[in-house]
Amino acid sequence: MGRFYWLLLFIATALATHAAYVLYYPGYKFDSQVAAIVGPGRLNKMTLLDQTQIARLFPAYAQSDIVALCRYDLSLGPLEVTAKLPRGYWTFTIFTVKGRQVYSVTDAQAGENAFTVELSQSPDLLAQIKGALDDGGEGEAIGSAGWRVQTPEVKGIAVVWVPVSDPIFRPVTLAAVQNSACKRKS
Amino acid sequence: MRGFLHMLFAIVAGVATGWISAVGLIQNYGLESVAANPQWRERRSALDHPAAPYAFGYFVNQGQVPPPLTARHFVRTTDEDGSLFRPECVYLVSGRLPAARRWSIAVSANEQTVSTLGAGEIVYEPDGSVAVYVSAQPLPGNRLSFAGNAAPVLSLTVHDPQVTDVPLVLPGIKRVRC
Repeated sequence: MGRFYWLLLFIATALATHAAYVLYYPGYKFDSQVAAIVGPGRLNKMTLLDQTQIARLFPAYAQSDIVALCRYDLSLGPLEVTAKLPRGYWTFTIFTVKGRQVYSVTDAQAGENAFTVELSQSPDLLAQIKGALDDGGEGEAIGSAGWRVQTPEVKGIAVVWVPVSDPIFRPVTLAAVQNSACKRKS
Repeated sequence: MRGFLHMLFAIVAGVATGWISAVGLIQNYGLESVAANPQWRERRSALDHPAAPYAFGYFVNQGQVPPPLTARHFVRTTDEDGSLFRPECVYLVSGRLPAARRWSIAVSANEQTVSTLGAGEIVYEPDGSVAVYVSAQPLPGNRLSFAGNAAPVLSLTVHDPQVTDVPLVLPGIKRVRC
């Protein structure tokens, strides 16, 4: 009986450590790493990334692509992300602080190049708990070019990615992405 | 006293086992060889795949944002002969890329991306294929450059591929010289 107790303790400790390392630890580490790369004071603000920042943060994007990032914290209330992008391929993606993608829209899915996304934390406690285990994000259309998205976690990042198909269009694309905004909803 | 030591041992052994298994699975679970090009391995991060939390952990632990779910991400550490990439060698990536809205190829060393090429900045061959040198030395043509003594790792991301239900055919990588 005594040995069985120690075996149970060993298994429970191993499972708890495994789950904590996979599900919770990355989130704590990731937020501080993003803050260090984007720079201090950039919370709830859209930041246009330079080539070094893109290379550090996004293994899937080319350094010549145009990427804007908003590191959000919904603890003080909902946010509103607005963008008016040039015609062509672009994606807007919302990740939680643990790297889970909770919402994504591309130019083809949106049908419009100007959009607004209202971002808030899910009031549903069950969804917040589930957020540690699955995607948990929900999107709901508001108007013809807007969505209301609820995330299971209070922190994360929203990313606008526009690959440049021809360098001649880069200045125009850059100006458009620079006008994207991420701010507290009034 | 003996009971306390047993408890301490069970806890320490449990923490070590849980940590080692998590690190091991984050590195390797969900990394599957591509059917048509087994040298390329795909990191599966689809939300319905059991490896998804480990794939997210892999990127996030390195301070990187995982590829979007509309993309497929492949990595490669060996040439066509199965030899590990060496920093003193020149390699040639050649072939056609899958039909997709966008792709990008990157070389990294010590878990840091050092250079990238996207679909919009490459010069294609007349038949539509690509030829990209991976080299620390300057070379004419498309090139992914890197420096240092760490072995390079190549990654290829295909965004919104036109076909999703058949294995993708990816370019080959040959060693040119060392």
